[in-house]
Parts: sequence; structure tokens; C-alpha cells
Amino acid sequence: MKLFKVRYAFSEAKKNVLRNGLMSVASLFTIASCLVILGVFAIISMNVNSFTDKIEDQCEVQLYINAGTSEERVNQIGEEIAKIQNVKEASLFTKEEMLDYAKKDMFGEDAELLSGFEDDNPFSDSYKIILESIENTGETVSELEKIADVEKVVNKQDIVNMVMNLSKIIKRFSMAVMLVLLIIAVVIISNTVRLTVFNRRKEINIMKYIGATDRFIKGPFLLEGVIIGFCGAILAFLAVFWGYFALLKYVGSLSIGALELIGIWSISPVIAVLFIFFGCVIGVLGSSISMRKYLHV
Amino acid sequence: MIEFVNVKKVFEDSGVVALENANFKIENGEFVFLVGSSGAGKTTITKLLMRETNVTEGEIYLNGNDITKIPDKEIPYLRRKMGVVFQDFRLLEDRTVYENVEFAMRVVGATKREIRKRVPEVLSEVGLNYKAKMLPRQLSGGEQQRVALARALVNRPLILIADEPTGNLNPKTAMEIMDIFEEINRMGTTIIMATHAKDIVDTMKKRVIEVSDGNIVRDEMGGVYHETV
Repeated sequence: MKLFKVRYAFSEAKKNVLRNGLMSVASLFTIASCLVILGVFAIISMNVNSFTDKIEDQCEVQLYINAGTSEERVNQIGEEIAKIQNVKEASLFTKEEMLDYAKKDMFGEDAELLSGFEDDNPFSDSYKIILESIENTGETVSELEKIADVEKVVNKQDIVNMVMNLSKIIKRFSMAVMLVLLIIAVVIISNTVRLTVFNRRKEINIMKYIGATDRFIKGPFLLEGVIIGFCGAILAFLAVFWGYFALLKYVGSLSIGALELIGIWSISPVIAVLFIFFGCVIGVLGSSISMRKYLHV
Repeated sequence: MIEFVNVKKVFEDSGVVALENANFKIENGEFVFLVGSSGAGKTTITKLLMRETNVTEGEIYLNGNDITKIPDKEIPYLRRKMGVVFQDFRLLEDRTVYENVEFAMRVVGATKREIRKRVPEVLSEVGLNYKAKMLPRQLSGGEQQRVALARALVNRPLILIADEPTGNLNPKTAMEIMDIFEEINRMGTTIIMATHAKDIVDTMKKRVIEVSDGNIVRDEMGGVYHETV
């Protein structure tokens, strides 16, 4: 396509957007609103993913050994644990260490209540085991339970399952909401372009008789949709950026460990690309539908 | 050369037979009037020539090529071989005379240099170079039709199709416009004009093809307007 044709398409598209001022602005804000909601769900999704990853990193299982097991056997159990797949790390926590921990961290000033337990320690030796992947926790726990002299294996599978399920529900809900919003946005932009096609029907008719190609006639209408979609994306990005920045600032002091939100500079490029992509796709789709239905060249 | 061979056109939505068994040839450089009452099939012939619609049966040849068979994407290139003028001028109201004519060249991808040379030339041919900067609403009906003529001619078409070009003009202006058409024809452009203008047809004594209820009922060299049926 010659430079003139590109320039012509852009200048006509710009004119179309300006001529349909109110309708263009309405479309732009609708697309921006849709993208903002899409962005909110994307951010929630990204944060839930990050949270799940962190839980996975912290995923640990506690293995308790029968009372009276010899020190040699306890060490042997450690070696057997290390051989099991999905075990990243295992560290021994002796019953003496557990008693000390209980005295210092659980009973504090009332530690004397536990005095006398040194000779008849009620705790068991245990292993704190870090797993490679959260998803195979069930199988790993079964393997661990099979080891001789193991009293019980305690894991956080319920919490893990809950987070994973929540994450799945949020993802599915986000996808459904996004789909509905995208359809709404496409319909709205299609109506705006349809209005332009109607307003310019005489010009289109003349172009047809002069021998303008389909691409030449359709180009400006397609670009009109893209321009509205792109501007809507920029507007939505600014709103989401500002909103997330304010949220981070507000909850910043409350963020602890796994609950810490993803930084704004990690999220911004993803959101910007997502918005521009969807903005332009909405624009192209809306224009195409309109042209297919109302622009017979 | 244009040749219609057993052309039939039935409008699918209404079932109306607009043209039936049409057979005629038009040589390059001819001036042909299409006459007949409203709805007789004159406009259908011009629309078929421009592939605005396609035949139900038959073939239409333009310089040996059957234009009923060309794919849709080739239609713009077919239309570039033709210029078209309408009764209602169909000018772009927000553009000047120069821009209206220039636009036709831009659409087909002419260079700026070609445009700068050709547009004043064609405006001069229709006697409007001194009104190049005016908007269509500032012109009389005759002048607007001249702009439309200039736009149709600017890309040097082989054929000029005119659908009632004098329908909105007074007799004096109509004759002035016809003088321009005759001049264009003298330069070698084939002209096919659908018209109801009896005075013009009778005065110019060109070939007349009469259409009635979708049938070609008369094809006469140096003919007059009278309706056969």
C-alpha cells in the first residue's frame, strides 16, 4: 500500500472519530470500563497465582516419629525421607529442641510449668520436610507414612487445596466476565462504526464507482475501530495503574510474607500489552462486523 | 468493444425480469443512447456493465474479456476503465471542485505529480478551471455536472457511462453539457447514455438502443427518441 493510502486511511479514520464525537467518546469509555474490569480480574488472577507459588515454595510437611525410637533409627528415617521423590529438603527437629521451643515461644513466662519434662519428654522427634511441588503432596504423604516407626504425618493439604480451588474459581469467573465484557465492547464499537458507515454512505458509493478497492474503502473504518480501542486501552491502563498504585500504597504496610502483592512495575507491562492487544482486537472485530453487515463494496 | 450476448437479468429478491435475451455490440468510440420508459431496463444495462450487479444468464464482453466471470476483487480495476456520471451529480459536498476531481485520481493511486498535471487539464476541458477552489454548493447545477464529468474523465476511461446526466438541468445547460459529451466522444471515448431527454436524442442523431420491459426493441443508427412499444 502506497504511503498516500496509509496516510489517507489514518486521516479519514481520525475524521470519522471526530465526526461521531459523542458516540466515539461513549465507545471509548465503554471499552475503557471493560478493560479496567478485565484488568482488575487479571491483577487478581496474577496475585492469586503469585500467592499460590509462594505457598508452594513454603509447602512443608511435619513427620512425627514414634516415642522411644533410637537416635540411629531417627537418622536412618532421615535418609529414607531424602530418597522419596518430591522431597526438597528434610530437617530434624528433636524432642529436646521441641521442648525448648515450647518453653521459650509457647509458654514464655510460664515456662516453669514445663520443668520436669526433661526426663519424661512428651514430644516426639520430628522432621520438617519441604516439598518440591504442592500438587503431589497427597502421594508424598502416603510414601512418608509407609516408613517404619513413623507415628504420623501432618500436612497443610487442606489449606493448599482451598487456595488452589479458590484460584481456579477466580480464574474461571474472570474468564467468563472478560468474555461477556469483550462481547459488549465489540457490539458497542460495531454500532459506532456502523453510524460512520451510514453517515458516509454517499462517499463510499462514489468511491465504489471510481474504482476504489475494498481495502481502500474499508481501511479507514477498520482504523476507526482500532483508534477507539487503542485510546480506550490507554485510558484503562492509566486508571488501573493509578488504582493499583494507590492500593499498594494503602495495603503496603499490611503486606506480610505470602500475602504480599505483586509490585506495580511487574504488573504494568503485562497489563499494558494485554489492554493494547484487547483494545485493538475489540476495535478490529467491532469494525469488521459492522462493515460486513453494512458496507457492501 | 462491448458485447452483450443473450443477457438475462432477474432480480432474485423480487423475481422481476429486468433484462431478457439482450444482444448488442458497441464499438470503441461509439456514442449510444439507451432510451425507454422508467423501469424498462436501461439502468440495469449500465449496472451490469459496471458489475454493480451480475447477469443471471449470458455473457458481457469488454474488449474480449467476459466481465461476468471476473472475481469480485477485480471489479474495482474494471471500473477504473469506466467513468460514470449521474443525474444527481454525487459530489462530495465538503470538498472543493479540485479536491473532488483529485480524489478520483488518488483513489486509483496516481502520484502527486500526475495529479498536479492532470486535474487542471481536465477542469479546463469542462470549462471549470477558474472555479477549482469552490465548493459544490457554490456552483449551479450545470457546473456541478461538469465537475462530475471532470471526475469521470480524469482517469482517462475507455467508456463513459451516464445515467440521466441532464435530468436535473434546464434545456440550455443540458445542451452545453451534451456539447462536452460530444467533444469527449470525438476524442475517442465510448459514451453510453441512458436518458429520457427526447430533444437531446433527436438533435444529436446518434445510435439509439431502446429498451422496453427488459427487451431490446430497437437498435438504430442515427435514431430518434420515439418509443416503439
